Amino acid sequence: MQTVLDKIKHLKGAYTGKKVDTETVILYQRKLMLNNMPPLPQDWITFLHAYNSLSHDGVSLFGLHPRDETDMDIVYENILIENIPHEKLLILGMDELDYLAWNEKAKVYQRIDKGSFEVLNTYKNCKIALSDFLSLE
Amino acid sequence: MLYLSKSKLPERLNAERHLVEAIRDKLDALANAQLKQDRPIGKKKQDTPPKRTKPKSITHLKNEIHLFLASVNIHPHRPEVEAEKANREESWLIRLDWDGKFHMPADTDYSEAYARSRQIISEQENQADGDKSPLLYKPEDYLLYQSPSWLFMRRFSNYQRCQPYIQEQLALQNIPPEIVRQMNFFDFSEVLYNWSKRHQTQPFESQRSQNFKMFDACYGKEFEQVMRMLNYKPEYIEEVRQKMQRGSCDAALNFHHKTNVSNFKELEKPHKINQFTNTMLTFVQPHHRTFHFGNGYDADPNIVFFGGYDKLYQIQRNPERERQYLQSNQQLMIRHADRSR
Repeated sequence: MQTVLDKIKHLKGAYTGKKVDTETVILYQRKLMLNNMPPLPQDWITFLHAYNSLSHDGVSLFGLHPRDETDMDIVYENILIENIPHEKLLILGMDELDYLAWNEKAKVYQRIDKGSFEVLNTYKNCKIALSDFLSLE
Repeated sequence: MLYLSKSKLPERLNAERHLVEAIRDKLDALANAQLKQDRPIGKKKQDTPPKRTKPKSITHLKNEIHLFLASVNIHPHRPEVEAEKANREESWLIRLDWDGKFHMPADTDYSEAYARSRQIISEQENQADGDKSPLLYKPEDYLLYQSPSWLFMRRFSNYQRCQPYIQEQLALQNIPPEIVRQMNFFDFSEVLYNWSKRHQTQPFESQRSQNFKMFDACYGKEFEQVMRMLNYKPEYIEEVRQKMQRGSCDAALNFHHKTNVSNFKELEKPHKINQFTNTMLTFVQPHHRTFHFGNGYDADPNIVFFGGYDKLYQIQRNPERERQYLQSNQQLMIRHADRSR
């Protein structure tokens, strides 16, 4: 995971949000639960501790209560995205064509078509999901 | 909508900013209306001050957003033809053409014939006493047109150019030529991926990258003008243009597909789904998000840059300029191909 975080650090022109602390994460997990959304997986929390949201070259990864105009909040985005197929899916980011989601039932990350919600790719952990979604070499 | 004259630019910019604030506020209100929150600790229900107005219903808020978008001439998508959605193979094919990124398919995505062949060859090569198999076939033995999947793939110019690479790689992998008629896009994409790894290079420039370069070449000056009117700093505008000239973009902007990928069969020529004519550059927030609101909203097909809800901040297409750019680009590619022979 550290390798991936280091590669993200060197992404030219990426906008990233401020790190989050543990207390914010705990309160946020409760917010997700109250809104019938799956909790954040542990490895994604590790990512958020380093980068609370990220925007780069057409890719946006959501965060916890980000403040800037280009940042997006996980809960808000999941409320606004209509027709999410089941409540065990949490949308964590998007690019021009797809969403990056956490499937709580299958315990995997997934690349999902924005229009049809078809699963296009599956990743067994956050490291692989981020490497693919952000095209990190 | 009351439009002020162009001479009153600061007022018009203020009006645009109010429009953007308004749509963001409505989206926030919609999210808040559905958001469940903890009651503040220590507060009993009767301690909460009574609200002066009832919270708006979710339907009401959605209608407000719909009316707002209609007032700036953005309407819900209504397909003109009943068309099938893109299937899994088509979705992947379009994506690879768009962003040039190889995503490994599931084992079950490969055709049976190709999967069996690659397994047999891999087993032979991994045997302890096995030497590397001699090459049994020549690239010209592979008649790609026998594959129905290839017949659709080759309509995308990026894939058409890859035909010799695919043939070369199939020969190197010792895949029997008769397998071709059963090969699907996932098989071809793996072959192309293997070629790409071996040559340490991308087999083609992604359509996305090509579109950014084309946008800057054809509309760079107007883009600068609009961005200055929106009060962006000259250094930032220059940075964005430089990124586009290299085939990428700033985090605040991206391309919107006017007909989205799942509905690509609605296009008269579905293979043009990723072409410049079907894309429009816009700001991610809130502009791109509003086009994907609900079941999707349609953009004006003649707009190439949607910088704002006010038409002053939009750039109209110039087909003649685009045609000249493509023609000169085509000539450059032919000259480059001639030189490298």
